[in-house]
Amino acid sequence: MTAEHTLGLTAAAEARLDEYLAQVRRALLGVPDVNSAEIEADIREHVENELRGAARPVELLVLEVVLRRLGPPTQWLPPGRVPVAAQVGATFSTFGQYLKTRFRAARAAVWRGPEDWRLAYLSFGAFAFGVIAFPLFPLFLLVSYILSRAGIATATDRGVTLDGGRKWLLYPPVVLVSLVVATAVVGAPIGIIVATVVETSEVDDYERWVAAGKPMVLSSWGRPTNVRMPDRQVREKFPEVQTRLDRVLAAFPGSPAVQDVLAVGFVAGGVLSAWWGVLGCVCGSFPGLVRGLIFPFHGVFSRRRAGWVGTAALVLLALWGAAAYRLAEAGGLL
Amino acid sequence: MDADFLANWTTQMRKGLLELCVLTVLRHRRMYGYDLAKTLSVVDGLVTGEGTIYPILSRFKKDGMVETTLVESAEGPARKYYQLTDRGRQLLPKMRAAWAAVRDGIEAVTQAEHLR
Repeated sequence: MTAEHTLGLTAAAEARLDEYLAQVRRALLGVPDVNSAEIEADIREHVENELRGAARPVELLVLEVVLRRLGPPTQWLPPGRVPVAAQVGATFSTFGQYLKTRFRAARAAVWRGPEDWRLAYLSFGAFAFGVIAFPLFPLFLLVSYILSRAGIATATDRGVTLDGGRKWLLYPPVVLVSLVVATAVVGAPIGIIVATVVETSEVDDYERWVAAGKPMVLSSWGRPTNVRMPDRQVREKFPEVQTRLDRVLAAFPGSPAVQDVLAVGFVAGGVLSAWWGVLGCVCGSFPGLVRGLIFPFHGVFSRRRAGWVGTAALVLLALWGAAAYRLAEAGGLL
Repeated sequence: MDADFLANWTTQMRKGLLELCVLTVLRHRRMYGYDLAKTLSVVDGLVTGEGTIYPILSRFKKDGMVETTLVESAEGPARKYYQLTDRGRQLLPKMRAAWAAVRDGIEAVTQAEHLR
């Protein structure tokens, strides 16, 4: 529930409201007994009510009158009290003094809230501790990720737009985990392709060795040892031996080297079609699950797009299946 | 210097009275923040900024004196209504009695000074 979505403000008015709310947040940071996020949501609601009958888009001058009636953001501080955030924003003579004040602001937020700030600092703390205690990083990353998600959800529920500071506290674990998930989604089929090619090659080597009569490496006296002859030697010594893979590869055009490349490409096409087909259909069927998983970057996900990717990949998979059947037939496997 | 002192003193005095007024207005009905701010802002000298109401409501909520309910609104987004809790209801008469005692005391002192 951001201002621009609900209030219909001009760009200048929008910037002014954001500035006012940022001042409120800064004024209330570390002030006990009040929840700044809740107050911010209340102020938004108040402004929205005030502007209900106003012409759209609402001009800066109209908004300014409403904000003036609301009063200055510092009005809520006890008399004579300097807001922690103001101290944070002040000029410091030493770096130590700056760190001390930052630490005070963080401690105030952790002990007294508001909740979204508390979660932001706890999340960042867990993330930073994970970096320091590196072997435990995965565990602390998970903790930090859960806290960040809770912090972002809390702020969203309260209609609070996350400012730059809180984004820096909340986003690192979310971005990192999202990158890991994205890498897994993109990288998993590559792993499957490599595993398939390696496994097929090993099965083919064994089949050729058996078909060649299980030849062993010969000793320097010309007697067979108990070491299996390497595939390269088997191919040189028994060129007449043909495996099922040889017959399938022969169905591809070009030289043997080109046939190998085309066969790997063919396997990759099948695996990728199957992977994206299944993934697209699952994501299209359970959009809530996907949005929940990639929140707060869920804006990039579209159920329709996922459906299209899934359908296109399944069509390709069907074509691949037909081609695979013909190859198997040509190779005499059927 | 005098102006600063007076502003500070007025703020302190107003703060306590405003808290009493917020609870008093909520005594018989639930209200949403905007309505409450508008209701109290018409009282001369009580509310300097309409926004003053919200931290009070937030603190009352944290102290368990009021609770909130989200109610769908035909005119826009859901409204957050504030109402007194049992604790708020129990404290309100005591606060009013305390205020009445202070008010009567001040009145008595002022009358006595006039008569002197």
